Amino acid sequence: MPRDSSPYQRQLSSVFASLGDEGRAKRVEDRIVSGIAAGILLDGDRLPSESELASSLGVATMTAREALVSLRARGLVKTTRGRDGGTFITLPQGDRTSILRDRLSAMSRVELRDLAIHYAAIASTAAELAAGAADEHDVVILRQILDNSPEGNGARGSVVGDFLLELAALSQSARLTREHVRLHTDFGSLLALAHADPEFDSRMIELCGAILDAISAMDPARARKLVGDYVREGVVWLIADQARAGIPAVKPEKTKLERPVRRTS
Amino acid sequence: MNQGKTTGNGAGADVSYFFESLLQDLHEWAGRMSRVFESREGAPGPQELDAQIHPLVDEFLDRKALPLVGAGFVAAKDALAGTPWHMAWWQGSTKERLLMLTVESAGETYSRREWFTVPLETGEGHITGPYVDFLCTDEYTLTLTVPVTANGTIVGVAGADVLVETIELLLMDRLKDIDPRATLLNGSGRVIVSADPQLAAGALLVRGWQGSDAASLPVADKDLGFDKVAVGRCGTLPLAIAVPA
Repeated sequence: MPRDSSPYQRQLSSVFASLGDEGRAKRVEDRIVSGIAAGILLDGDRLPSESELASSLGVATMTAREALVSLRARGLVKTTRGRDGGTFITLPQGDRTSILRDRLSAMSRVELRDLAIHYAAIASTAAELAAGAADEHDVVILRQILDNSPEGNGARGSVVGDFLLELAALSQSARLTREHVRLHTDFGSLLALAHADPEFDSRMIELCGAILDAISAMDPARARKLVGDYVREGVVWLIADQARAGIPAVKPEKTKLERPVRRTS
Repeated sequence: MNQGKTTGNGAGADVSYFFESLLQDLHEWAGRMSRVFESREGAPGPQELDAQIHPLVDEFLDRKALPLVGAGFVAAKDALAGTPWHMAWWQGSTKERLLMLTVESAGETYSRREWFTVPLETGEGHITGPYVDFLCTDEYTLTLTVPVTANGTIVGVAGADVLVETIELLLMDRLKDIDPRATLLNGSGRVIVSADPQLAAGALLVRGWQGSDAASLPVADKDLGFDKVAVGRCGTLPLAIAVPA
């Protein structure tokens, strides 16, 4: 269908673009699955009750219930009765890697790089602003994240992820921070695959040390460049990993996130 | 105008009064929380605490004096029975309960935050921010917290979140009355709200003002069109009003 492609028309159509025909329950379900993939929800975590979940997500209780039924059917949550009962995350082998690998293998390089560009735009701008705004106390907090790192603490997210989130907040922009959080569950969750590689992880923690030095020296340009370097390294690792896993096969049955299935070869 | 001393009268006093009265209300409120602990043998468990704190929070959030975006009680480590960490916090116009999925995530979430650690360490009220609060409000926020003590021990903090834009709406005219370029600073010399269009909330204006008695101090940013400001303290609060000198 021919369309007026003037910038205004494009913006206008983005406003009135279809919200998608996915049911609300499916969207609740997808939220929780991406929370699992991002490592925000871990094996054994208790989910809020149906009514809490419904009020927090702004949906009807019935919708929340429907989503939980579906998650249960997929084996991602388990509900127990009784005093200490509730709905808990259950991950086979306590491992979210397989969800992430499925997702990675369903992505083309073009899509992956595009996501990375978006993430880098936000994260590096935040770093640039943070370098102009951070005080000594902020630097101490960031240093603690890097120093308290190794084993144990890292279960709920990578040291680098925590560091970059804290850095995003230091931009003093609520919008940038929210966007960073949103992208972090998206791109950052894929990067978790790279951070599971100890060599990559320690090299990137070192890179964060250099970013912190730039913040502390109030050098916005250098902070910006180093965050860009981090994202580039991450993308290279992910693409190399795709290649290691062979030509990515699209597995419609296992595509657990809302991403459209794409051919990657 | 400000002779490098306290902003003792007029609009400056209004600005100080605004924060002093909010802290005082918080102290009074924290006293009522203390009684939840002191009125029983042994520490309460989280559910019992929530049931007793919730009406107090509702009442506090309903006050007409100042729109608060959230408020609640955050337990010190091991202050409650049966759980190391606990946060009873409600926010928003619908007073939505802030959800913490696991005990560990609650601990990780708040145990190193300034609004939690400072009142516990000093036993005094504290003003944190302005900062982007990605844990609770998701907005640019100022958090006021005071210690809650029971039988001589600090059992946690009582606190309230105020959006920086609320402060801007309420105090901008007061600042303009002081000087067309007057700026309210936090303890680290960061701008909370400024009458000067150049100065964004969050910008560092004057470093180290709290440790200085100088009549004027150099500004951190070189491109403002002025090099020095006179800093007037807001009473004993970790706040000051800066005016180009």
